[in-house]
Amino acid sequence: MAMRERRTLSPGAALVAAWSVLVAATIASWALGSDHGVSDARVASSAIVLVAFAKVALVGHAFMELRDAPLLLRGLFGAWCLVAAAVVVGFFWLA
Amino acid sequence: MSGPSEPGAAPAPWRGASGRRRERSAASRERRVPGEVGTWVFILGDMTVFTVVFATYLYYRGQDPALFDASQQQLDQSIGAINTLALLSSSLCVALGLRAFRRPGGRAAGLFAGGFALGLVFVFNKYLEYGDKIDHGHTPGSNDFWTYYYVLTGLHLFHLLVGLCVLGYLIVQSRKATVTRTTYGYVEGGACLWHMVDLLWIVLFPLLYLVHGHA
Repeated sequence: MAMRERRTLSPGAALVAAWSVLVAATIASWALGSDHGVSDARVASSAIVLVAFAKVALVGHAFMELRDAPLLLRGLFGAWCLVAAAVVVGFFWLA
Repeated sequence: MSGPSEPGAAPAPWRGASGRRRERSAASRERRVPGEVGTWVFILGDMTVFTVVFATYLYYRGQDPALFDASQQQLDQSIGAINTLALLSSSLCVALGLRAFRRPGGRAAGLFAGGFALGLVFVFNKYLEYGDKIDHGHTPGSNDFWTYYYVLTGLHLFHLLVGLCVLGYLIVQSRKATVTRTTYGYVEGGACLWHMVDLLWIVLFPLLYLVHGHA
């Protein structure tokens, strides 16, 4: 028997869990985009965009199976997420 | 084919002649590229091209934020959000379908078809949305915002339509009793292409529909 019991989700349940997080994040961003209480529009937009790129990372990790991919590919994908997020948010604060 | 031909390759589960799945042992859980390297070259390249288009949009938006915000008011956030949920659910179906594809008797075809159907929901919503915008006189030439709206969403829609063809291929392959190792790679890669369509919209929706109130 295994020396340590690992309580992890089955792969199918992990996919559904990732989907649930993505749906919740989408609804949260939609609410935030409809002006629910954040005074500085730039802050709201930055939050929405950062959440969007976090969702992209989750899609890559869970759906595209990058969690099992070579580190180089994971690094390239992650680098794209960071650079693209920085570029977009940069436009809000530096324009 | 009944086994990996490259020495040292991680054993990939696919259906051999007996229909039995070859298990990946815990010891051999090596990292492997989902699909093929060429597919990822395309995916990362396409994502980069979209980033350039996003940046261009944001630059010109910064030149006239009042115009862009005013025009953006005409967009229906709800239909954009519903489209996001449709694509997320579609990707879930495709990801579950890929897992089922690796099991003999797994209902991969049904799951891929579910993903396809949700993709069609997106297309139908786009048809309604474009129709509504045109009815209100908002065409690609109306102003800079509308030009970017049609270019961004049109470029994405083109990718989605190609993605639907790819899902069609996945449905056909998943109905076969056995597949070659090459085909297995194409199916994995095809699933990744579909997820790329999803993730492009995940960024596009907030940029076009939600971000407002500042340069």
